[in-house]
Amino acid sequence: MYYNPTIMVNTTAIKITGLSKYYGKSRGIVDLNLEVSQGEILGYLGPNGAGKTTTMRILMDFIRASEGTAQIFGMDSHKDSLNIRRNIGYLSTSPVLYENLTGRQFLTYCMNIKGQDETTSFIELAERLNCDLDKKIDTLSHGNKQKIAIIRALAHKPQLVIMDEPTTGLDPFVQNEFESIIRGMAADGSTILFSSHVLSEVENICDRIAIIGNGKLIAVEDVSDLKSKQVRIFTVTFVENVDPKTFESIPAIKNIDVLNNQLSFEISGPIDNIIKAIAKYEVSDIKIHEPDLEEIFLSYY
Amino acid sequence: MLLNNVLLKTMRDQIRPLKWWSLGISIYCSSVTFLYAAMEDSIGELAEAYPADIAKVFGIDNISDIASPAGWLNVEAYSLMIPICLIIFGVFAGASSIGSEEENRTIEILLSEPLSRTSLFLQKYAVFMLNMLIMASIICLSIYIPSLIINMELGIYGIFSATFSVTLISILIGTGSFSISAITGKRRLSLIIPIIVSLLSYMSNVADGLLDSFDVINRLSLFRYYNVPEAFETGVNFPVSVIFLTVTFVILLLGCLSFNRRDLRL
Repeated sequence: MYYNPTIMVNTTAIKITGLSKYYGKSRGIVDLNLEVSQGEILGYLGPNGAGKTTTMRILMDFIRASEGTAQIFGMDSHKDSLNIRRNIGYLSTSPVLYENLTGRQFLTYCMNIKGQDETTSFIELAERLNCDLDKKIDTLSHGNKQKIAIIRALAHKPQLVIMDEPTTGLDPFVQNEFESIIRGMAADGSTILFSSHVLSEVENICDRIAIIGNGKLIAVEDVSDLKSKQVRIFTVTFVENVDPKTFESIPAIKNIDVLNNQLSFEISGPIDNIIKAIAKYEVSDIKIHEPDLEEIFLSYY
Repeated sequence: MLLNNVLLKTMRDQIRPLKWWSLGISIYCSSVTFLYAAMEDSIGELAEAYPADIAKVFGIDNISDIASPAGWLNVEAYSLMIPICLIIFGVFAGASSIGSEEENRTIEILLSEPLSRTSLFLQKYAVFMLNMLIMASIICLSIYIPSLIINMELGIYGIFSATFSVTLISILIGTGSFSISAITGKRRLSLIIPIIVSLLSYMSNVADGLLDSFDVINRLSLFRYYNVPEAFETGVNFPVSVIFLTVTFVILLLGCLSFNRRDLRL
C-alpha cells in the first residue's frame, strides 16, 4: 500500500472552498463549498449537467478550477495531484477501458502503473462481483466492463474513492454486492464520494448527500435529517367521525382532508402533539407516508 | 512484461503497425537498390530522355547524376518516396500517441493513476522516437545490404548520412504532430497541420528550384535543408542537424508545458 502518513492523520478527506469552473462563457460549477470527512460516504446528486462530473474532474486534476481550491487530505488537488492519486480510486461515468486486453491484463497494467504487483485484491473483488477476467474486454457486455472498472478503482484499497455513477449497467445482485463492498471500505476508514441517479442506492448506503443544481450546491444534509425535515403524510382512520378543527390548531399540520371517518394531513416537524391529539380518539388504522429520496431530490428543483 | 508501464504498453500496441511499415519500406528500399544493378547500363539514356524541369518537381536537381549509385538512390528513394513514407509514419505515430489516448478517453485511466502528465508525455515520446529510429535503421540496412551484394560502391556512412537527413526532417514534423496532439487533444488537427506544413514546405522547395523569386520564402522550407544526394559524399551536415534538433526540442518543450497546463478533453 502507498499510504502516506501525512494523509492518514488528516480527518477531512475533501475540502472544497469557493470552487468555480467556467468553460468559456458557460458555467460548470459556481462557488462550491463542501467538506467530506474521512470514512464518510457522500452521495453527490444532481440532474445531468448540474456540475457533478466537473467537480470530480477537478478533484482528479483532469481539469483546473477557474477559481477557488479543492483539497484532498489537506493537499491541493492540482499541485499535489500525483501524491493524492496514490490514495484515490476513481471511476468515471461510462468508463472506457483498453478493449484489446483481457480484464486480467488490464488490471495488471493499472496495478503496475501504481507500482504494485500484488493481484490478490483484484481477484478477490472479481470473485465477489462475479467477473470473468480472462475474456477480452471488447467481448464483454456493458455491465461486465463496468465491473472491471469498479475493480480497478477499488483493488488497491484507496483511502478515497470517487465514483461517477458506478452502478450503471449492473444487475441488482451485483449492485447489492457493490453496496456491501462500499460499506465495508467505509467501515475500514475509506472515504467515498459518488454520484448516482439510483436514489434508492444512495439512500441505502450514504451517510450524507450533497445536492447540486445549475452548478451551485443546494443542500448538504444527513440522509436521516433531510428526510425528517420533509413533509410526511398521515392518514388516520378513526372508529367514528371526528371534528377536523381539533387538528387544525396544531401548527405542524397542513392541508387537512376529511373523508367520512378518515383524516389525511401533511405534517412537517415534531409529531408528539399530533400523536397526543390522535390518541384522544379510538383509532382503527394509521398510515404514515415517508417521502423517499427521489421525492426529496425532486422537491429541490 | 509488456504491461509494466506506459512505455512498454505503447510499444506493444504499436508492434503491428510498425511491423507492416517496416516490411513495406524495407521491400521498397531493397528493390530499388537491386534495380540499380539491372538498370546500370541503360540509366544514362534514361536520364537524357528525362525533362530537367520535371525532375526538379520531384526534388531532383541534376538528373544526369542518376547514373551514379548516390544519384540513383536519390532519384528513386531519397528525393520523394522515403521522405513521404517516413513523414507520414512520423505524423501518424506522433498524432496517435497522446491524441488517441485522449480521443478514446483512455487517458482518464492513465491520469487517474499516480502518473504525472510529464511522465506520460515523455514515455509516449520515447516510443515515438524509438519507432522513428527503428524505421531509419531499417531503411539504412535495406539499402546497405543489397548495395554490398551488388557491389554498388556506397559506404555505410553515406547511406547513414542520407537517411539521417530524412529522419531529422521526419522527426521534426512528427514531433510537431505529437506536440499539437498534446497541446490541443485533437488527433485530426495534429494530423492535418503537419501534413499541410510538409506539403507547403516541399512545394516551396520545388518552386525555388524553378523560380528565383522563391528563394526568400524557401528559407523557411524544411526541405531546403535536406541535403541528399550531397550527404552521400559530404556526410552529416552537423550545423543543420543541430538546428533541426534544437527546433525539435523547442516544439517538444512547448507541447509538454501546454499538456501540463491545460484541461483534458474528456
